[in-house]
Amino acid sequence: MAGYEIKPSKWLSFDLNELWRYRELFWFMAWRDIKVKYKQTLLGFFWVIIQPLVLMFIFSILWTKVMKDVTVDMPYPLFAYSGLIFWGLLSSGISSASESMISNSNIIKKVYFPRIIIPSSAIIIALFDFLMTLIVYILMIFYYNLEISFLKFTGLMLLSLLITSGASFGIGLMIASATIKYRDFKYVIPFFLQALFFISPVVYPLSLIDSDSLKFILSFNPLAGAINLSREALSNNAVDWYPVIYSVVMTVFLLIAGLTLFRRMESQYSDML
Amino acid sequence: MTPIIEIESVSKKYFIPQNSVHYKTLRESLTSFAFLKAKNEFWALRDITFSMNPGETMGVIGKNGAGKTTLLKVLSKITRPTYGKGKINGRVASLLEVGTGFHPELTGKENIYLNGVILGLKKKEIDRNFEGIVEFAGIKDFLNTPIKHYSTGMWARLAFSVAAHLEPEILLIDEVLSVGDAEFQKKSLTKMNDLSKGGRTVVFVSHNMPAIRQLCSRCMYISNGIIREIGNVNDVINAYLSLNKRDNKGTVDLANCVVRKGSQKVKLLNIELRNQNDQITGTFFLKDELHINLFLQAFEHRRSVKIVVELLNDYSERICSMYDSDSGFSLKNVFGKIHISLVLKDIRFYPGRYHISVSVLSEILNYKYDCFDEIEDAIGFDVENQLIMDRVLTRRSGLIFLTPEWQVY
Repeated sequence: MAGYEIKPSKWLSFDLNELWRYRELFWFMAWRDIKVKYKQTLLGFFWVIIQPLVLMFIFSILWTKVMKDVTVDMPYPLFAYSGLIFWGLLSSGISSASESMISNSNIIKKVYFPRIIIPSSAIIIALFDFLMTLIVYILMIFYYNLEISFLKFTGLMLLSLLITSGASFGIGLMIASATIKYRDFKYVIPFFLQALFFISPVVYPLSLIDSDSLKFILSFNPLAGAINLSREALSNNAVDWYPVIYSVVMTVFLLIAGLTLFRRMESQYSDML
Repeated sequence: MTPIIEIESVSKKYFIPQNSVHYKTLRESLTSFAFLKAKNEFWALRDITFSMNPGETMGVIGKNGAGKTTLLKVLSKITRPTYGKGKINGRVASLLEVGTGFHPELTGKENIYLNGVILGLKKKEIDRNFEGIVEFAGIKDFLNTPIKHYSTGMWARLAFSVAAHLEPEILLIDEVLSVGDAEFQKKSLTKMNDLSKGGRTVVFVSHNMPAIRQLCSRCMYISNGIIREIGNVNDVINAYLSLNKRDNKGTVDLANCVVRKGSQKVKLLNIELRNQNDQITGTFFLKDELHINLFLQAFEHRRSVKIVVELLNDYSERICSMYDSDSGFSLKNVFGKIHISLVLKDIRFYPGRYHISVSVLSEILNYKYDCFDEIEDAIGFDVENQLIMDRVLTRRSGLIFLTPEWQVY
């Protein structure tokens, strides 16, 4: 029998059995978000693809006109595009996860389910959009006729996908928890994302930075590691694992911090929303 | 028999921010030394203990703000109790509203699945019951239409229909029947009757006493978060009605009332009801004068303040909304303590219980205003049965007593 106990809250681990019982709700929430997002748009999925493509063109033009001396070891449009799609995944993941609790507050106040379902299903729509842009990425690789190892490409892309979505989930959870108590955090998101865009090697290579200590600090940015990995997936050089380890450690830290904070606030959500 | 619901000394405390600003901004917390301020505590539930056996139907009655919904929220795990514990030995579905999670852009069919899953159904169960849900709701031709094009009635029917096909062991229901037209309410009452006869354990919150009498095997009366009475349905309902009746002293102190909305920059402190003889009373007769005296305090200087007084009958039907501006009155340059009096000469309400709700608002600019204070059912009064000419007026004979001029030509 699927009963439960009612007791004052304490902040411990997540009830994994319960999460498994609610798996259908997770998929339905994700399905709803995707369905609603694309239902009323004329161009639908194209919007998702157009955004990084337009930015790619702009940066490619800027790159050839402004940064003539710096070289990257692949066609620049491909370089910029790989950065842009991972940045897109991170930013849309963070914003949809952090807004999810408030936009679903009517459900949270009326029905019980493990609250973590809401922000985690919100990540799915970001992943879905990412997959759309990834198709274009693969087409571009064919267009430039790059010789890549399929295994290496798939493996490294998967790893960077994991790092990016993990980091966006962790950060999203933290902002979501904070926004419930203090609505100001809503205004932090766009600013935070813009700052992140510039400190991450989205449109420039990390090698552009000549200060070692600055490079060290920047390599803790999980996005930097993820983007680098995705670029190394295209080259034939051996992978430099050090920055990757930093990124993974940082992602795990963000995830744990996000989950802890979320869990700590969970019992109060329906009272505060 | 082992109880299916067992609740032991459950209490729930809410904090009400002093200035009642619903969402704090960080700046306020940082600059107002909020942590030094005493917070207003509010016990929504106090020491609630009860148990239910499988198949029982429990009615929960009480005034607005008594803690009925909080009890359902605690039972369904939506919110955690501050103290106490409980055990629920079965699958639970809670219906705190119908159509939770409905999305206007999605079609009827899509919403059936979404709403069903949110309420705790498995996709397979929805597949199995799909035909039944559609038929009960009567929306077969509109299945693939986004529900934003549905009428309110269709929307409510669809929502209730999904809920009615839940198959939990325990069903928690809050005022669901107050939606929809009379016919739909009747239909849903019948459905609920079937559900409780089918061996479900049901906790049913309602103001609808006839429905509680019809559906429930036991009843609980909550007031101020405490169980006042629990047991036989008729006994508890009678106790509730008579207690409610006695509670009409004609004056009420609202300074510490916590069930209210608004910023409280201008606050309602108390209300006094007087008759034409200037006596404070809660009992009136037809053609009496009713003086409603409002005592307010403005904590900051306001250029003008708007006041709305509403009268409702015992079925929560609004008899009238009286705006100060309707009578050409307006309150200007407000600060400190204020005493306002509204005089209704010659009241024409049929016998029964009436409730007064008061809102204190800022001036309306561009259709927008701030709410300073709003208290629903702040005070009640009775209009007594009486002999008029050759008959006895009772609450059943109408709403408003009119004496037109009769002429014969």
